[in-house]
Amino acid sequence: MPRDTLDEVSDETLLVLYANGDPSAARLLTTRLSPRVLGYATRLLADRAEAEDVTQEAMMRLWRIAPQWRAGEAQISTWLYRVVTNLCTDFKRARRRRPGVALDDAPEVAGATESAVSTLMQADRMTALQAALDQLPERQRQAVVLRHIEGLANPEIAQIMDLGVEAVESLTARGKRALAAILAGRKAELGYEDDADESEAVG
Amino acid sequence: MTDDLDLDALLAQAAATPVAPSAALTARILADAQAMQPRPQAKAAPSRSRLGLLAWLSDLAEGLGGGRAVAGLSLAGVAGLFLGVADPSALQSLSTLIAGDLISVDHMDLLPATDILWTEN
Repeated sequence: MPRDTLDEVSDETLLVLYANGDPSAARLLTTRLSPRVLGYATRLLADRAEAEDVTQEAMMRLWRIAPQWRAGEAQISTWLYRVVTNLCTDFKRARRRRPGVALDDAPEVAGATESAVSTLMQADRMTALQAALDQLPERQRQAVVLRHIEGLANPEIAQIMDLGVEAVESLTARGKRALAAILAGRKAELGYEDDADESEAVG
Repeated sequence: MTDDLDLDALLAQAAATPVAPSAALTARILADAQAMQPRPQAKAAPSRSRLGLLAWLSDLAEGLGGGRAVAGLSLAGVAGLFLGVADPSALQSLSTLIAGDLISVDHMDLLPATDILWTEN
């Protein structure tokens, strides 16, 4: 099938095409899905190398299930988020059994190598956010990342986390409160007071 | 920072910050995909051992409609053979059951004697 036509088809159709031997389908699915999978895994694990391993494993499970995929039962992205959530939990369990492994690898942030001070400040803020996310209980971190960074709706998060929608709302709210409390002590360090001063000066 | 607006802005900034897969990771994923991709079912050329009678039978079965059709034909053949060699008394009771006394056939010569054919003049 021509590449231009494939660009417009759904993930599910692409998976069927992959299962039928179409050579272009895997590349398009990888382009579409792997950044989301990697981003989510990186937020949960705070370790780029482990997140890459999880991404490869999750995509491998997608290729494996392709011939048996039942159309209409679930969205592929929802299924993948669920697989990644479980894989990250497994990786964290394995990590706990290996004491002494560094846990402070912040995700690579696009633009972090630029020299502009504002960009560095933004990178610092992202690093601080990641550090704060790492301090949340696991289920709260999953819910906050899925809701506020991945941008999913609560019913979809409920499917991914195998919870009720109310439980997701509760986890997200508690996670956000905890994040705010953790980051409160770093307000000046991350330049928010300067921003506030500038806003007041402009106003 | 502690107010909700700042945290929302920070989370929105994180959402807008892509985590791009490296070329190496993409290559690993695509290599897996290629290795695990089901191959299209191409019709294989007949091997040398399939030539001859076996190939002819196979083509005949395919022409008749496949294995199920051949099985049906075989069953019909066996049933016909059974009716031909089985004791007809069972069939007589069956005909009595269906037609009652309307039909009464004590004897029916389905293969008349051929003596007449041998008689000269």
